[in-house]
Amino acid sequence: MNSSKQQALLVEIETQLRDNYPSLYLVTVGRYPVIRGSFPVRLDRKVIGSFLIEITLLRHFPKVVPLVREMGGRIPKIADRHVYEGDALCLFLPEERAKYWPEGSSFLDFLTGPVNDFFLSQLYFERHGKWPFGERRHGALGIIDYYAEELGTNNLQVIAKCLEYLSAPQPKGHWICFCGSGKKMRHCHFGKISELHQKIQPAIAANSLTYVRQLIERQATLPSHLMHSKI
Amino acid sequence: MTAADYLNSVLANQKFGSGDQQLKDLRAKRDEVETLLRSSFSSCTPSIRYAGSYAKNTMIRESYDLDIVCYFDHEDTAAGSSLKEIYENVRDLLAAKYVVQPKTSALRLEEGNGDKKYTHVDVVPGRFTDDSRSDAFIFQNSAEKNRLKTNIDTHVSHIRDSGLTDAICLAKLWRERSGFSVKTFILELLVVDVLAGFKKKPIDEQLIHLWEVLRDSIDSLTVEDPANPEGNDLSQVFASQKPVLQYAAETTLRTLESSGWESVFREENGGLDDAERAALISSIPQRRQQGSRPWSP
Repeated sequence: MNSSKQQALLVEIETQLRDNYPSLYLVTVGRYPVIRGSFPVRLDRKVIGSFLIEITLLRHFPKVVPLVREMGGRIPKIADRHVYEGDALCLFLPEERAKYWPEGSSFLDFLTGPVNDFFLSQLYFERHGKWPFGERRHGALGIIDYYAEELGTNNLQVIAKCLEYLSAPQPKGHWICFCGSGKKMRHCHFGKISELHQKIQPAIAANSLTYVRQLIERQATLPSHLMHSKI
Repeated sequence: MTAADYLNSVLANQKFGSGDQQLKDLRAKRDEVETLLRSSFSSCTPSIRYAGSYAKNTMIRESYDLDIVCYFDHEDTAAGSSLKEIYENVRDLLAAKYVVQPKTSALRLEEGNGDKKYTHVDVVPGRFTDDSRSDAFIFQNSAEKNRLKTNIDTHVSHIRDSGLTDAICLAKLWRERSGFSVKTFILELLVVDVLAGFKKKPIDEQLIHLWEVLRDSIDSLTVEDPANPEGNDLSQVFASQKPVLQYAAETTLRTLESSGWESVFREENGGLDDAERAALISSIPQRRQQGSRPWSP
């Protein structure tokens, strides 16, 4: 993004903060714009809690999801609370960005959507020890759950092949279908791969593929029905 | 309205009046707990007293507990021969009536089954160190030392008579509304220490001074337990909380500068009390059918 576009975006964010989240402010720390302050967690317009946060807008923002950290020492820095290395919060599975914060949405949408949802979940978890909207399982298992829902199978080889195709800049119809049917994709699941490719950036699919391949290596002794079932 | 007027109105919303139902409920709960303890330890006369923010006059609606100490005479073994036994016997006794959550030194009382209802009452068992019934030892569950010497009168008078209880109440509210976690005892000691020369200043100047010191000079600050300066080393706990306090102070001063006091204390709800907030949090799944699902790499 050129600097005048970025400047305009930052001005827009400052305005959104001033009008909607006056306890947050924008500063530049090193190379990146950073939003700091107290985040009010809202439920039906009522503030039901607050968290001290820092949000870093990374180089390719808004294409790349901002990095959110909880700075107030309220959330234990453990994977079970969805905090990972560098104390960054994992708001959602990268594949689900299109569902929770689609490209083209505003920074305000990011705050009122997945950031607010994440902290609602944390407030509920603090009291009840469970997640009100559910959670994705850690690591590769969460990725597999997502693709199993999308593809209707938890066959790791099928999911890995699908991810391989999604990692490409543009999946082609003449490729042999990822489902294992032996047909060309244009005669099989080309619609599905195109739909997923619209939602999931190739870099995200490539990253997930690494997780799934590692799992396949670790679980070489998986029960056969997980390795060979078809869609 | 001046800044001090605004802060005093925020403070007024947080203070309990003597006729408040919540306060009546707390006192009734204390009577219930005291009756249970006295009837069960009828062969001795434990000292059962208010401690914590109620005794210190620093209780706020947004977040409150009622601390009750239950100290036995130093040679009395009716409740147990060791501190650990006293802690466990009091715990077991209370468990017959409440759901007891053991904390480091306190026993937190909850009622009901399933979705537990917190009573806001914590009981701290202990034993006086001698006949003067002043200093006491309390048991420390899951701490490095399992015995800690303390003195309720010293703690209470250090805070209650500091001349800074309004600043302490607002500092506690600042913690709640900003959303960070720092031990109340540390926060109280810091306010008393940092504002020692600022008692006559308006409340807004007191808070700004507190935040400026936390932002600029936190490394030079130390905190000391007035009841046990040698035996209760707070330096490690304080060191672990310094980054949070510094960040909170820095962001608060920036918010104050850019958006004013209303954005720091955010009275947009008129302030939900602890029970209202708890009920809303528990209703999240009913009020919001869907939300983003967190993940971890």
